[in-house]
Amino acid sequence: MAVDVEQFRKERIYRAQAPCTQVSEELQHLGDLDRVHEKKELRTHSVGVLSMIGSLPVGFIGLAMSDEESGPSLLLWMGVLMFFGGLVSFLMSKRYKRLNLENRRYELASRVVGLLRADMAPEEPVTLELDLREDSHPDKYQNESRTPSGWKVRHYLDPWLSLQARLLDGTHLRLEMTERLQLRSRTKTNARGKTKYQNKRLSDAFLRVRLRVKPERYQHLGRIGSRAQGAVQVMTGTQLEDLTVEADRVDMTLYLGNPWSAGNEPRPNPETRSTGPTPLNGQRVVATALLSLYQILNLSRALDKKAVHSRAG
Amino acid sequence: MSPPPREMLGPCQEKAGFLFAHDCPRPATQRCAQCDKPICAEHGHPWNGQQICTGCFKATRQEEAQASKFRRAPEGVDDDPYLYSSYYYRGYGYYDHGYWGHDILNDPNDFTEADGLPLRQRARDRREFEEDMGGS
Repeated sequence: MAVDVEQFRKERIYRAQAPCTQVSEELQHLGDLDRVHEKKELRTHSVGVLSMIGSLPVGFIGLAMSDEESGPSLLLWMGVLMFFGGLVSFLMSKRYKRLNLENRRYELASRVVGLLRADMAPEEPVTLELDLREDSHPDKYQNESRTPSGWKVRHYLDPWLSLQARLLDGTHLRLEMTERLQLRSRTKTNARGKTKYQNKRLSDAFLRVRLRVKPERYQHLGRIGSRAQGAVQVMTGTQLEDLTVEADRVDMTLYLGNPWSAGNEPRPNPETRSTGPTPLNGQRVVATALLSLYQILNLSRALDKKAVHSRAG
Repeated sequence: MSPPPREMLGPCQEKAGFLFAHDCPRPATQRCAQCDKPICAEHGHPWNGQQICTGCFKATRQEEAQASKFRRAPEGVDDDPYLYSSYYYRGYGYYDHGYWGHDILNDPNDFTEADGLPLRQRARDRREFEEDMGGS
């Protein structure tokens, strides 16, 4: 089953329940489509700008050359045509912009599926839902508030990634990523009476990983309890928000305060000054979270083995 | 020399996974150039122009890392689930003393040698266990 392109263009939500290899191929296909749309957007935008700019001198010269006897000159018609051509190009560019997806989302999903493949049966399906609509989509709007410093804040909540899979040891994995967005705006009048309009965008994210396990396989999970926190390793720029260990499940939530990218960002050019923190490697954040949870599960197995050895000894 | 047919190799013998070790469900397509173990394409890692299994690759890299001053993840580790835990998770799968779990390995409610005498005494008083084996 390939991606239903028409359906995807309407919804911009990718849904799949298929083996990892197929999901990886489909995400690759989405990436190819996205690159085509990015190119088309850039091209139509450039054509629009050039046509609009070009239409002005051509139109004016054409207007100057026109007289009452011979009517509007050919140049004037060309100017008008260029103006409307520019308008159409802008409209097409806007349409392609809508289909220009956030690369890091499908890239991260693809990378995570690639990692999980190592611990899944080849035919085992992975259930993936990837919301590729912009994070300020009206459906994601939550509420509005005001800060003491006068910012009007529009809050958005975007649970864009949901992935479920059954691993080879019978564990059921559920991984979710949610972005929070604040669009802030205010008008400020300075001492000289000049009014300025300011806006800014703040965002952070939460990663939640849940493992539901077979209690008979991991018999000591309940005993490990809160001490499991010692096993958790988190990357710099992320914080452990919550960790729950019970007899049949482990559940972890990480807070990502820094911006993130799907993988390793290329090192910034030392000549160009970069502003803001280095983006987190999203793949490594997810992988470290999964490894942390399995470090806890494997400890339970280690306790089992120790019990067996001590009985045998 | 042509490679041996796939049927001859049987299933992949490498047990390395991303999160836990398990039998590999894929058929072997080649042999490890170091230990000669049959391995699948995914468990093969390029090393000196040859393909070696995950276990041999990790051991080789460890030797190289001990010889050099800095331990740096090789190219492509980010996309290789089998090597991830070795490079990006300190002490993965290690539960011995000195690590966070060392006290948890000793169950405070577990029986110790000191419990042996009172238990035997109680069993003797209640005549729960037969201790005179020569009698039966």
